Amino acid sequence: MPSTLSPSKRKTAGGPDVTSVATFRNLYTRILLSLQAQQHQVLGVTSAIDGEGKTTMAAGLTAALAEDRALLGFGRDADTALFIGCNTGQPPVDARLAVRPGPGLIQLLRGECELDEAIQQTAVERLAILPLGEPAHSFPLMIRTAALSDVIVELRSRFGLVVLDLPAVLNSTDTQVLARLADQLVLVVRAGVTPAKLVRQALDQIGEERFLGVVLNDAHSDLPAWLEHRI
Amino acid sequence: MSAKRYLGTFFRGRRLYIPVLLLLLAATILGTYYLARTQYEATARIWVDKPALDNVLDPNAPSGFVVSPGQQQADKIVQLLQTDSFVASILTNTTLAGRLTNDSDRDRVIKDVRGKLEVTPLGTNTVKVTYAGSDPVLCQQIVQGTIDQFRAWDLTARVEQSAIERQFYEKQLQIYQDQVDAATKRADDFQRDHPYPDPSSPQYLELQGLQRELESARALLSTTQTKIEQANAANSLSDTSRQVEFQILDAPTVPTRPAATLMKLVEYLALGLLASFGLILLAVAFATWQDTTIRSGDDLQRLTSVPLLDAIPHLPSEEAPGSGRPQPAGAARAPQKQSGQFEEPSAVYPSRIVD
Repeated sequence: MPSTLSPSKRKTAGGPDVTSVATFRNLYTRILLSLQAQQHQVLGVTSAIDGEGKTTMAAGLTAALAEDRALLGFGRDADTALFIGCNTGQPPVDARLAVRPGPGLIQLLRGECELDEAIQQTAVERLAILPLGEPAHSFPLMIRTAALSDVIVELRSRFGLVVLDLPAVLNSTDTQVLARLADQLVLVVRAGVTPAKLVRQALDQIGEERFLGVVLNDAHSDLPAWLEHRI
Repeated sequence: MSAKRYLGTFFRGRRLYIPVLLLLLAATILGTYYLARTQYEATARIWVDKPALDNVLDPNAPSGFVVSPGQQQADKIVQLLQTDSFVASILTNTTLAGRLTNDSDRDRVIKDVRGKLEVTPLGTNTVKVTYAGSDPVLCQQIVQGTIDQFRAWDLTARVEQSAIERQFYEKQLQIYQDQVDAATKRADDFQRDHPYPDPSSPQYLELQGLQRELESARALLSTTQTKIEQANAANSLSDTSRQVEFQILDAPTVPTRPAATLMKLVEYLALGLLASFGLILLAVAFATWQDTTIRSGDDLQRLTSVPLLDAIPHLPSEEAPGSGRPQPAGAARAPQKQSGQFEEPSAVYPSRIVD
């Protein structure tokens, strides 16, 4: 029983983390269904403020759909997904998405490397990652050049799904610049942390119509089960 | 806000609310126990009669029986207790007398005593005076003082009233006497001019009118004379005869046992329980009102038309690893799902399916 196992025992040796995949299966299914209907290929994941779990959410759902070989099932030509780190915050905590030292998106945009050099294969099959690269302080300048649009166009032809890990909407105007490159956006809201007013502001700033949907992270009920079912 | 949200606030803060509630309940029980152990009560019951000459002495008294003597006297005592001078006069012969010299202390003592004194009519002719406090001797002294001061006040008021009444009626008597004299003179003069008027003549009718006027004036004079005699009689009544109108049936005694009755204890407990639960309810309502964060899919749906894709039980925050419940993504609190199953959103976290 997965729920009775300790966290260290949930992950089978060399195999996917079944609990993690199950956690994101509903989410990626709904996202892919919606993207398939609209032939969209680039998805941005953001939040109103920092600390809401957007990087983990983006990494989790990308890894889950890659492990499930879901892209082909949803009519994609390529079955590989790409995770692009556009967020100067911490990288994904999932060890399988660990980034090796090397060039990243910034170096690519500066013309210091080729696309293939910047893209790294992860420990998850069918999942590649394009790390942010160095130096992070030049990232705001580089995303405002035409080079990034060109890179995204190239990536569209090579990957079944491109997931952009974006900064928080209310923390940086970079998000508004980067959001234009995504076909659709997902807003991560952390339950019990994000004030409704800030969520409203984030939606207004980007435009509600740009959002595919909202993901409520850390959702939990404070009520005991016996009461929960009676209300 | 929905009841679920309020309940959520309570259960989320249950580690605070429940101990506080238990503390308040414990305080209520302890407080009730303390009051039960230290609350003494002295009581006196007084029999009051409507004064025999009350109507005479009080021209404003209603002619019919409207208010019972017990109610009337209880009302008077209650009104007197609203005055500082009356309460101070009660305390003069008690152990609190020394505290009346200090102005600020005096006000506090008077207010305190006023709040603990209770005067209620029992039936039509009995008045109960009760004082509850922690000092049994003081309880007795205050009840006794209340009765003594009221009796003294009542006597003084009656004597003063009867004197005023007498003066008033004496003036009235003079007026009525003048009216009788005038009417007599008019009747005599008329009879002198018309000694034997014919019964069918207008003079006869006029004479009859003058005689009626004279009789009326004499009746008023007679009534006033009676009232003056009654007022004189009331004024000369001895204290002994007044005691018949004001008898102490049960004199206040120094209570030897705490006075908490079962009803009183239940009342204190009920009040304490109500206050405790009320306080917690207020705290929960305030905390809920203060909490503007998104907590459920319902909150999101109220905020925006953007659909809720899913509710993920828990994922660690990458930007704030120290906050929340830091666990690796793989060790996140896993939902009860089996790999390969495509589940609908749970009932707990409703979400809209996007297609």
